[in-house]
Amino acid sequence: MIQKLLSTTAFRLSLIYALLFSLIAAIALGIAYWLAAQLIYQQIDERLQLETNVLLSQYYSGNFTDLSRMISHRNSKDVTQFFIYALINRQQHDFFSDLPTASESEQHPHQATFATLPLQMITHDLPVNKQTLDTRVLLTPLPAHYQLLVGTDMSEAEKLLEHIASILLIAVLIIMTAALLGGWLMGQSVLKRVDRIHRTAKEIIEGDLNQRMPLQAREDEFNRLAKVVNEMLARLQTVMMSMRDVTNNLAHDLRNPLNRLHHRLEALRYLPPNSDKQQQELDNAVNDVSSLIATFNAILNIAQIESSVQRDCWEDIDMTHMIHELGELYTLVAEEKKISFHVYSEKHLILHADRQLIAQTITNLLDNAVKYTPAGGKIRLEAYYQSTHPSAEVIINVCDSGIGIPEADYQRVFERFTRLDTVRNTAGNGLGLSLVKAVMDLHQAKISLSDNQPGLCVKLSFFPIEIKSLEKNK
Amino acid sequence: MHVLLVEDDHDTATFIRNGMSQSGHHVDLADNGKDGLHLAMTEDYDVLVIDRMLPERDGLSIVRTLRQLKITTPVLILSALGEVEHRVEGLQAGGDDYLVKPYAFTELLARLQALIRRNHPEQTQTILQVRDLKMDLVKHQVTRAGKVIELLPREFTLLEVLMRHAGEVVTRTMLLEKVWDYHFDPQTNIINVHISRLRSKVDKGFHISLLNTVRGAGYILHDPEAS
Repeated sequence: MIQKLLSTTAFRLSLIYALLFSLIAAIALGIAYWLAAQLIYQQIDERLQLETNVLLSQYYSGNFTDLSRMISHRNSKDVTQFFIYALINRQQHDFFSDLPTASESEQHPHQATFATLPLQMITHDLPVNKQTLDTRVLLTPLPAHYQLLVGTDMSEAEKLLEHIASILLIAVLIIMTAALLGGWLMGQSVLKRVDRIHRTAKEIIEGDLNQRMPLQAREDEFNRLAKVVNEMLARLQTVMMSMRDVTNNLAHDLRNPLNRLHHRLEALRYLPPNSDKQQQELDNAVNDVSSLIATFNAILNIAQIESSVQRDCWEDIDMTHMIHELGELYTLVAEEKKISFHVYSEKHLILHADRQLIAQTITNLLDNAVKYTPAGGKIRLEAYYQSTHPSAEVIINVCDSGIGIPEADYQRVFERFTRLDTVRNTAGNGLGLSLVKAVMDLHQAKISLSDNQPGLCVKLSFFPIEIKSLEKNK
Repeated sequence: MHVLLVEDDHDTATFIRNGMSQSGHHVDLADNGKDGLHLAMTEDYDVLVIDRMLPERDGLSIVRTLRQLKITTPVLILSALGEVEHRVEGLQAGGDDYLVKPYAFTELLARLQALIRRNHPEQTQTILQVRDLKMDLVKHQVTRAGKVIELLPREFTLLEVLMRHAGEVVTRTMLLEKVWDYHFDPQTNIINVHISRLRSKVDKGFHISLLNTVRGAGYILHDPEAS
């Protein structure tokens, strides 16, 4: 689990960000600390200057003895416990020569100088634990080889700074922990979703194509990815189902005609050779095979159309021309059956599609119309633009006054080998409308059936085209 | 006619050979691509029938090689692959026609005859004639026994195709292809109705009918007394 978490991108990213963020925070707080220290030292120096000034004014207004008395008074009082005052003969101990910044004192040996010195250097009268403490002093040279030393204990200031430093360190630690924890939680939630997708994918691999990636209400990257994968799965499933259907259909629906053929051929063995009867049975056998081949080809054709995505052979079809051509092709059939046949097409009707498939679709619909419309009936083939502002769609209608299809069967007729009970005795393989549906799906077009009272109306509506581009065509 | 059949399925090849022999044609067989190509390059054939998927060498590469060698013998490609792009691929490789398995033997025979005819073009011909039926391609006029027959444009094209293939069986699928340029099998017998209409114009009132239906195969326009 930890291993997995460590290897997630989200966690690694948040780890890097946590470290970076902590570093920046540490730098910022370090600067704050430095500024605070500067301020504190500055204040100490100002206090020292102030104390020295007070003493010096006493010295200049009075005399050396007054100063000396005042220093011993101050040293004896507890009120100024942080301050150390001394008036020392330079011959006895020249503090100026002790200064660590030797250059400073050399350049200005007679000027007042700030310095930080160990406390033990100034006084030996101290408890051992305090002797190493630093003292901030202001040395002021006085005439007659005297020097005035005002110093203060820095331990309070240092304690304060230490306190500040530890607070800042804790702050940095808190920031870092929070960032790491956030990263961990983030990685965890990412991991959880990836795990769910992983599990679903595993189930799909094991054969359950009905599984879909889990979606969430939030529209984030994962959701978008899951949606695309789901679409892909749906498409795959359609293709798989189509393949499975083809296999099933071939197995089930070709068995009967094959069986019939088998019987016929067996019977042929026992017929007298070169007899009329034998000839007739042979013809029947050939016809059986022909219709088998036709069915076989039709199934393959539908399967190919269903799994096809290729649009290479799509072209701008002059539908006006095609409608009239197909109309002409069927006029004679209709005439022969004493059916009145009306063909209408709007002018300049252009459809971008596969010419052969569209023609086959319309042919199939006309085949059905002719087949199921009794003598004296009517068939109408029409094509036109239907405006759905700002675009227009190409509509093709094939309507007849035949036996029609009960509304309950509207969906079922598109399935393969569906033969409604009402037409079971007529010729046909039940694949015509399946092909129409497949072609419509390929073209992302809609097919709708309606009652023509009496008869059936099939309406094909193709994708909308912008009206502007239509007018350009005209 | 002299046909080379390159087909690896032995039974199919034998059936086709027997069928062709009965129609008076001679068929050489090759059961792999290498032998097929060798025969096609060395012998003189009227037409080649080449299966697409063959051992040793695939059908399309044979056709391409032949075309590169400027051997223009017409080729019919047999294939189990029926998609449009496969058909286009086959024709682009240099095939002259494309037939998808399974197919009927009559369809194959009719197409082969059409291919051979195409290879001996009668381009200079402006008048087609079968017995007393004459078609003047320049004047766009059809007469029988000197009497003008009025035909609609589509009927004229239909008759022209049949006359160009006079004496040969033309299948319904071929007619839909050649006259209407649609490459699929019509379900009901729409072509039949058009042929009947044409026949009523061409043969009605004459003793001898020239336009006949060949059961289970297609149609034939010929002079029944000539052969």
